[in-house]
Amino acid sequence: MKPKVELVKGTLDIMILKSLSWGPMHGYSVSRWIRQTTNEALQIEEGALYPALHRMEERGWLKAEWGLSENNRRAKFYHLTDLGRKQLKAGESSWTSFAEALAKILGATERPAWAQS
Amino acid sequence: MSRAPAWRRYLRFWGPDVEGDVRDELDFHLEQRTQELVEGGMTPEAARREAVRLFGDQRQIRKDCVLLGKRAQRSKLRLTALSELGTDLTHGARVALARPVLSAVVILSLALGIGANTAIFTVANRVLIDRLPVANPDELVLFNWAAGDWFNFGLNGSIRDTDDGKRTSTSFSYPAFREFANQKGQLESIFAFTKTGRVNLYFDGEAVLDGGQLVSGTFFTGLGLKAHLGRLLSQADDRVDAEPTVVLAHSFWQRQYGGDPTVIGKPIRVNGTLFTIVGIAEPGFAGTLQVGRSPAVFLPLAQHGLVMGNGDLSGAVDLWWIQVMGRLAPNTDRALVEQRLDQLLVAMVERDLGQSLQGDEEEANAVPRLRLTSGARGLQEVRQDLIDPLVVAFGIAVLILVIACANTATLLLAGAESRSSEVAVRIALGAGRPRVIRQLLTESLMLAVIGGTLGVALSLWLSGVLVALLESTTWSGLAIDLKPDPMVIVLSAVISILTGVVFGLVPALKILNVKLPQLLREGGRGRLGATRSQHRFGAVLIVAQVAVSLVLLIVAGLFLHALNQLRAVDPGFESEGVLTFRMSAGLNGYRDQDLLRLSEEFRDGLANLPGVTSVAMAGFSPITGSGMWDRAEASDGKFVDTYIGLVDPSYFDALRVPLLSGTSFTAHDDSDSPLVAVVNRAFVDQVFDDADVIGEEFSTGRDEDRVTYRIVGMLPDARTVSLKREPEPMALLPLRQHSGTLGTLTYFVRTSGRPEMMANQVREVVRRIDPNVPIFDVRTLSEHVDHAMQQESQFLRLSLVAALLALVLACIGIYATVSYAVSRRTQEIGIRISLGASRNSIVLSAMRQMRAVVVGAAIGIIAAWALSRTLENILFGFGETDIFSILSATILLISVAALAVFIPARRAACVDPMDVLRQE
Repeated sequence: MKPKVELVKGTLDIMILKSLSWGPMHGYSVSRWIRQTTNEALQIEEGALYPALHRMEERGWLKAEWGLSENNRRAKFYHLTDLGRKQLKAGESSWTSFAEALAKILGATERPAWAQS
Repeated sequence: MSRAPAWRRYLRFWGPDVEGDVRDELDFHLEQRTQELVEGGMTPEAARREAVRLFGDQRQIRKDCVLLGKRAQRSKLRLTALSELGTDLTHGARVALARPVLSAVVILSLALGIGANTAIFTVANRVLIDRLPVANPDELVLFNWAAGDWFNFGLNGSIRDTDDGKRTSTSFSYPAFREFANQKGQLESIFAFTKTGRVNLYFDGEAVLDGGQLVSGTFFTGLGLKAHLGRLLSQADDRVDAEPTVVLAHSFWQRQYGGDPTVIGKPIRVNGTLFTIVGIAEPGFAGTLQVGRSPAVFLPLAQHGLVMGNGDLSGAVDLWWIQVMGRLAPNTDRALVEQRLDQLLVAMVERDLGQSLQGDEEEANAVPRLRLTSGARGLQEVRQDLIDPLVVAFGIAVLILVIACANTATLLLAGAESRSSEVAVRIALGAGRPRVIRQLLTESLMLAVIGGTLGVALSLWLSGVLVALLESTTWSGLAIDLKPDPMVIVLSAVISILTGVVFGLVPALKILNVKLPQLLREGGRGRLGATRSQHRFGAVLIVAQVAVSLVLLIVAGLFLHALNQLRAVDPGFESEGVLTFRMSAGLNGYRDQDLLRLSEEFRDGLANLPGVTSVAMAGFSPITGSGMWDRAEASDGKFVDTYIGLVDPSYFDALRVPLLSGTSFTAHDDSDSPLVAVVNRAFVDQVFDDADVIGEEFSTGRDEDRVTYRIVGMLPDARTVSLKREPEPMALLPLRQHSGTLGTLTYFVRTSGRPEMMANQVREVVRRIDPNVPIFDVRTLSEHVDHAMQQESQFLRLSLVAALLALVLACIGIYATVSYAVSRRTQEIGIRISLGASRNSIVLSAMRQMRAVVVGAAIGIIAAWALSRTLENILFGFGETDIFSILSATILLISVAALAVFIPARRAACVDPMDVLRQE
């Protein structure tokens, strides 16, 4: 088994937004897409996804509609609203710069001059 | 795989099922996950367990989701309600605009009904409800007395007849006030006041004429008032030997001095005497005189000699001229106080006027008895005079509102029928019935609110008209503040909304009472709800409208009748071609012989003007009902309370006053010659046994003041004193023999041309002789006479406009009802015609709607008859119920109503049967 990574706060929202940017999905597809894309690397309770989805729906980032799943079951499909798309864009750039900054710090090879050996 | 049971879908009938949705969504996830794990090689049971484990805390997640879902649901509902209201409003506006005539009539009739009522409320609120702006006004009591039909003292002030045949007044003598004040007993304070009439106020080189109020030293403390600036008058000011002081009313100070605080201590000349301004009264305090009378200055009562110029009256027991008010201490028995004060008054009358309760019945009955009435609103007489006109106006306004409401109901009902197909389709497409009712209510409320808003705006103008109408009953202006009262506005809003709800709900419920299939089947043809109850409801509305319009029409007819009778009244003089004005030289210090000389100088100057044929002067104003009264006694002891008029010899010629017998006065009837009089027929009939009275004598006054007059001429009876009262006994005396009692003089200038053109020349003559003497009330004698009839003519105008309005509204209502009734029967009529019915019989059958008109007219006649009994007491000439007025009003109404029924009936008869049959 691969090591699992604890989820950093706030990242779940951006992952949901990103997954929905491909088109309308129901909750289960979102969770499966995240699992498969990260190779199941994230330590995430699958159920935690749903309150997040509902919260984002209430905020107006997502809209939901009931429809039929691939196997003809009644399922709730979510899609991004314009507001959601904006959130995704803002989140992407801030997460990317955060990740880059973190990568620079962790990738540092020179000891700073003030540091004692 | 578990599936949600089918019945759960029906839960959604009442709204979204949040819990069910969350369960569905989460169960779907678990099933899909289990399936994925099974496909990965697990046994179904293990896969299920693993899916649940991976999912996490199911219960907590479910709870969170439901909570979030419900919250979202609530805000969504709010949004929906808002957007539905928006839809209703836009839809309502579109519907209203699609039938502009109907909407306009509904809005206008509501605006008129609500506007009229708002105006009346505004004025009634000011006149009848507002109290004096002083501390605890309900503790104040006003002294009155009531006596039999005669009294043997001079009276200055208004006198009224009571319902039980007595006369009542608020005037008392100065000594009586002092005695009350000395023994006030349980009265916390007692104070007196009286009006001064117009006073000449001179300051900073400018003279103005304005009203004043004489007040006792206890007046301001008794009312509990504080000074706005400086100080108010006190006991120390209220002494003859005190330095003359004056307090200005706040409004006068603002108006004339621009609110300048340095006026305190400055002098002001009041009728020629210097007074020192010591203070400004509180803003909003406008004295305790009749409603709308606001004095400019408050002067010490003790200085009445200086102000009024008629001598010191502080000891005069037989001149009753001041008003007395008191403040009852809390928790005192008013009846007990009244009883003690009454004993005091009776004792005073017996001591000073020799009139006792122990005398014969007539004498005892004539002893004035004291009563205390509420003083919370100051003097009451004018208020009481205003109650009757206000009641009449209020009645008219309520009737207009009733008509407007009935009309609104009729029109909305008819309008709703024509919309039945729209409603049917909306219900069939899934609109809930509450939703449809809300839509229809929004529409009628919208009309009502627009009508109400217009009505309030209209009331601003209408209340001004109403005050003008009321002013005609009080002679002087009514300074009533007509700012719309918040309470009145709220009342109007409530009326509008109630109207909107009630008259929107009725047609809405009518539509919804019908079963949907019937709606759909009939909706397209506009035949909806042709039910018996609906017919009956429409008929009731027609009956109501006809009855109310007929009442208003008949009332207008009766007012017209009253006015015509008034016009036919003989005032005893010829009013055409005469200019009159009034002059108060007494205010400028002229007294007695000086005053007489000046007034004759005026008279002669005026007589010399080109175009003037004669000039007369008199010490009274005819047909105003005001003037001097005295008790005249013949040698055999018979007496009469008679009107006394001072006139100069040219009075009879200038006013073309005829004499029945004897002669008029001559220039030789002056202070050196014996006293003479000309009396009228009513006077003679009450005192003398036969009509040959030339040379007979009568006397006035008592004891040493007794004077005797010889009758030189007799006048026919005429309504010279007041147009509306039976001819009063009247005695005319020569001016020159009574120069000591001259006050304000009225001049009569008869011209050969148009009298109103002479006004400037008249002013010029007066200015040449003495520029300081003010003249006022310059108008023609005909204007005077018209003014005396103003109340009747104003009422006539008001009721005529109201009646025509009601008639038009009722006809629109009738027309609409009949039109819709007929249009519902188009098929039936078409079939009947094709089966051979004559068009006339169709018209006749449609004319059956006239039955409601006739019933309404019958009710209207009975109501109008009852009403005219009430009006009889209010207005002149209402005594005989005028059959002609009732008949002509009824004929007018029935013919107009018949036309409103006939036009749509005729149109129905013109239906082409082929068109109808093709539609079937």
